[in-house]
Amino acid sequence: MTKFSKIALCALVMGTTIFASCSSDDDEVMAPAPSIYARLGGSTLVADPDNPGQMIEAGRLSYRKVVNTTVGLIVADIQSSASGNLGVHFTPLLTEVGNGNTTNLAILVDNLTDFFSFNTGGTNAVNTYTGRNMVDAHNPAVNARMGTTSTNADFTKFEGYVGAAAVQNGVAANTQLYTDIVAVLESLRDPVVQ
Amino acid sequence: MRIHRKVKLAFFITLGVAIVLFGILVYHIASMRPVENAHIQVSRIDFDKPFDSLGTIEVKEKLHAIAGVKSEIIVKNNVVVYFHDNTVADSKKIFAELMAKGDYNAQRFIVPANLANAQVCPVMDRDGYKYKFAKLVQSVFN
Repeated sequence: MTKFSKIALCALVMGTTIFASCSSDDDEVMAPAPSIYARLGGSTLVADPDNPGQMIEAGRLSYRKVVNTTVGLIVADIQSSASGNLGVHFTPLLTEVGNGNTTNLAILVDNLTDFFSFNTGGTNAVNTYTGRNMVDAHNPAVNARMGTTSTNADFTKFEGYVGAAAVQNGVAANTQLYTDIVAVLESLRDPVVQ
Repeated sequence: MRIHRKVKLAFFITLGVAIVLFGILVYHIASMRPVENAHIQVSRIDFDKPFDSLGTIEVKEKLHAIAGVKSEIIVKNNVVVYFHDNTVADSKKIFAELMAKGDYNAQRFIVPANLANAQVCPVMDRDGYKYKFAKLVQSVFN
């Protein structure tokens, strides 16, 4: 084999190796999974069903629907003598609303929608979360609206409500998306339960 | 009458600081993102018997058709929870309209007194000057 042939052979082997290492298959393996927000519709603008003439990011709308349904399911379970539901945490809010003051319900829904949207990939300004951190928000000494601390059982119950709300809004319980949403919720257990 | 120079100086400094602080306040209010669905209210109606799947669809359709009712309606057993804009329709009006649309035996849910008496912090008075000023500034910039 001549010297030129050896060099040509080496170049061929190296070239093959380099191109093989840059193949699109590897890119697919290395590509990060889409965020939860993206899988819920992302920043694509859609018509807001609750505000005619306005547009809303599809991901934000998905979260708002789940938040509203969660609140609705909790309200549906409130009974004067029943223990174990989350009525004690939400009835002060409902009393205000019943008296015509809806400020805090609107803020709660807005804050929860911001919080979940921003922290799962919806980082546009519309989702900027301006509420308290999770520890302060759930500490009665800091947040006067927390009548009492949350227990592990309360949090598990809340997770159940959010899961049911997600299912009612089209996220099937046997999907990776559902599992990922539950994982995000579970990551909040420590700061919330005090 | 001549006003003492130091008094004049103090007056203008105070006026300047007041103008700057007022400007900051206006900027703060103007740059606030308005709350989505600021007049949203959640209300509940308790029926005498649980809904089946057809009854669920029917009551949802009837509620959706009432002006002011938002898209999320939750039906759980004999309970219906819905959201609405209370500047368009209050819960009494919506309840009356729904009852007129079908043969229902139901009552509006009122928060039980033992739970309603729980302490909460005060909220902004909608008749107060702070609320009215904030609404005026926000309406100019948003």
